[in-house]
Amino acid sequence: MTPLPNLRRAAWWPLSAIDGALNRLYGWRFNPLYQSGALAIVLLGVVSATGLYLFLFYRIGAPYESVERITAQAWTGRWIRGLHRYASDAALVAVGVHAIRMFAQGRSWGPRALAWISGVVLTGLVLLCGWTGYVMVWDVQGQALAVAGARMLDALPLFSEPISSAFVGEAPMTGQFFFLNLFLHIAIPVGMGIVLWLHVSRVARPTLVPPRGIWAIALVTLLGLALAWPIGMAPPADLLRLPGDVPLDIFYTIWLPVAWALPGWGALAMLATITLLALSVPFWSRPHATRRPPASTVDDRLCTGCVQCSLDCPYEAITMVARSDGRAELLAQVDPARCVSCGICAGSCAPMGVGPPGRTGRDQLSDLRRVLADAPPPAGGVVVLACDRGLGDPTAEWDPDGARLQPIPCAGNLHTSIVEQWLRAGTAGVLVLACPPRDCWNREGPTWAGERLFHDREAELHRRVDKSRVRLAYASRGEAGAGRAEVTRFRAELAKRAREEGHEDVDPIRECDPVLEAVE
Amino acid sequence: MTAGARIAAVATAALAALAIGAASRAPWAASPADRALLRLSWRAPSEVAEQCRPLSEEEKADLPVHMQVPKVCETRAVPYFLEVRIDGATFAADTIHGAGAREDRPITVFREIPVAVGERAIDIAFRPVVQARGAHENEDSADDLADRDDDGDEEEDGDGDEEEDGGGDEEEDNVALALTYSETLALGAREVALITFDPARRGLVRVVSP
Repeated sequence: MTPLPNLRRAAWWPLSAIDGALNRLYGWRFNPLYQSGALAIVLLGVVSATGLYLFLFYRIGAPYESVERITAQAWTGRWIRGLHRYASDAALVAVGVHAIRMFAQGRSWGPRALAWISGVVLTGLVLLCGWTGYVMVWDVQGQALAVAGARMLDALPLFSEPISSAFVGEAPMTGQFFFLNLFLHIAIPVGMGIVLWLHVSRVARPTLVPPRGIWAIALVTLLGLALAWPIGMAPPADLLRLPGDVPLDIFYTIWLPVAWALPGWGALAMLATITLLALSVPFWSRPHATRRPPASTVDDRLCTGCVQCSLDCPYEAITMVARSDGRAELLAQVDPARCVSCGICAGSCAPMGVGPPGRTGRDQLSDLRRVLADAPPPAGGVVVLACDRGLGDPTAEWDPDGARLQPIPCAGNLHTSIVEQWLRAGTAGVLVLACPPRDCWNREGPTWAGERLFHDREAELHRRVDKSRVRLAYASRGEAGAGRAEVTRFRAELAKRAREEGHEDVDPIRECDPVLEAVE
Repeated sequence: MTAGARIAAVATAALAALAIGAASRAPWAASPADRALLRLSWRAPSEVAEQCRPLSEEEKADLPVHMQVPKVCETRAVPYFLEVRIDGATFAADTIHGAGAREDRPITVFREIPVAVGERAIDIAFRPVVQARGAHENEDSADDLADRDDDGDEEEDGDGDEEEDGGGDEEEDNVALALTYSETLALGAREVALITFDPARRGLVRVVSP
């Protein structure tokens, strides 16, 4: 096994275990880790709102004193400053979780490289904004940050005079310096808006705001923290004294103790190395060319121009173009530079004319026929079609309560005809066990699966199928217990229904034979 | 959701919040209490040396008409030699050139030397290296500088040249002064002893916190 998958697994296993634990506590709908990206945006919004208040009272001529006065406002300033700080910290935690999830799920290369690189830039801007914010307070931490920053700038052969000479203590720091910090502290978030647009530019329907429950709970929790544990004042900066005991915000300045101990060039080299390492993730995390999943292709003989694949694609990789073969309808066209090979288009296409090679609807039918020929399902049993990034992962090692477990690449890739075929083969019920919707590696797989199975979204599960024998449930890889409980519950419901209806099984449906014949 | 699950959910959120609060103010001892700092920072009142030579006919021919001046001049700040001794031990002995690619910008000094707290004998010498105007390529060795007194001939030569070029306060500022500082300083914990150039006294002084 190559080192990279090991690294990914090292990130993924603990994350999936924590996901599972939080799902048990809050349910997948309110698991904050699933909403980390959107939560970061909301928290940065809180930071902006509270920052506006602080801006009204901040004085560049007396920075420390003005922050001290704000902190002394028992009814307003104290908790607003605390919320400003804690929301900034929580935003960075959310950014970190988001980045780890994207890396662990292999969503950091290829068409997603732009999102990754812009995400690194966004993170850098958040850190830079935090840097200027702490310097603005002009306490001992601000002093250490300013001095460390000046040392690093001096390591660059750009300035004729050392920047550090501005922090020697011969005279108090000027208002211009704090104005510059204030300007950057406000201007950087404005610039972040542009990078954020770039960050989500390659996804359809980006989620910028998490469900109300999540951000409300986060806000109330952080507000409670700000009230119960307000941010105090560290000793003021004194350039004629070395900073002694410094209260360090490790979210923003964890690098500072190391940089402080290094010469300017060493600190700069350290930060540059970390930055380059982060920026280069798309290059070193991509699989070998022979193992990269292929982009979707379109069989133009089968494409009816219905536009459903274009609508469902979570990455806006499919556009509809005019045909050149004289037919009137449009033709789907896949942009390989945007396609991540999620296969969601395959699940959206009723005539099975689009999808990644090997995972189109027709390929799925062929595979199913082989599977059924090798091992027919026991009559009256339950089959669990589980996402192989969730409980369909062979290494998940869980007991589906006697049901037959059949891994699938993604619930969104699953063609509804497959569900129908399993039922026709004698299975009593089909449980599609998808990853939680906000944790889908392909963004919208479980969402579209639910729409197709139960709400007549193309390619919908045919009306002739008894939908009470089909169930869609969600469980992450770390929720074996929840997955087993779903199977048990579904089986009990099927048994109850069979007793009520007075028969053991439903007659097979034969209308799909033409499709099977076409595959053959 | 059971009451126990609710309590666990709230407790988890509270723990996460407390973790954020604690990590937001993690203690860090930036500098040890037995450490002080000697900081040297000034812009040298340096002399600018100019060296001119006539352009040859060949050189002129290679230039556009409007650039065919009779002579070309290069200006460089006179380099300085900085020597710092603390309790007799040498902590810095460097030649410092003018800033900029052509070394024609003012010389700035910025050095930070960690020292142990207590009484420290500080000796700083900052002298122009040049022997005479235009001869700035000939740099003195550290030993030569250490042996030279503050009012050495080289400096006087420089002064004389400046005066011949024209008088006034501006010129006096450009004189290549030789600067020294010798004091015994009592340095407390984490104290920074800032030594800088005082233009009024035309010498190195220590800046004390008000």
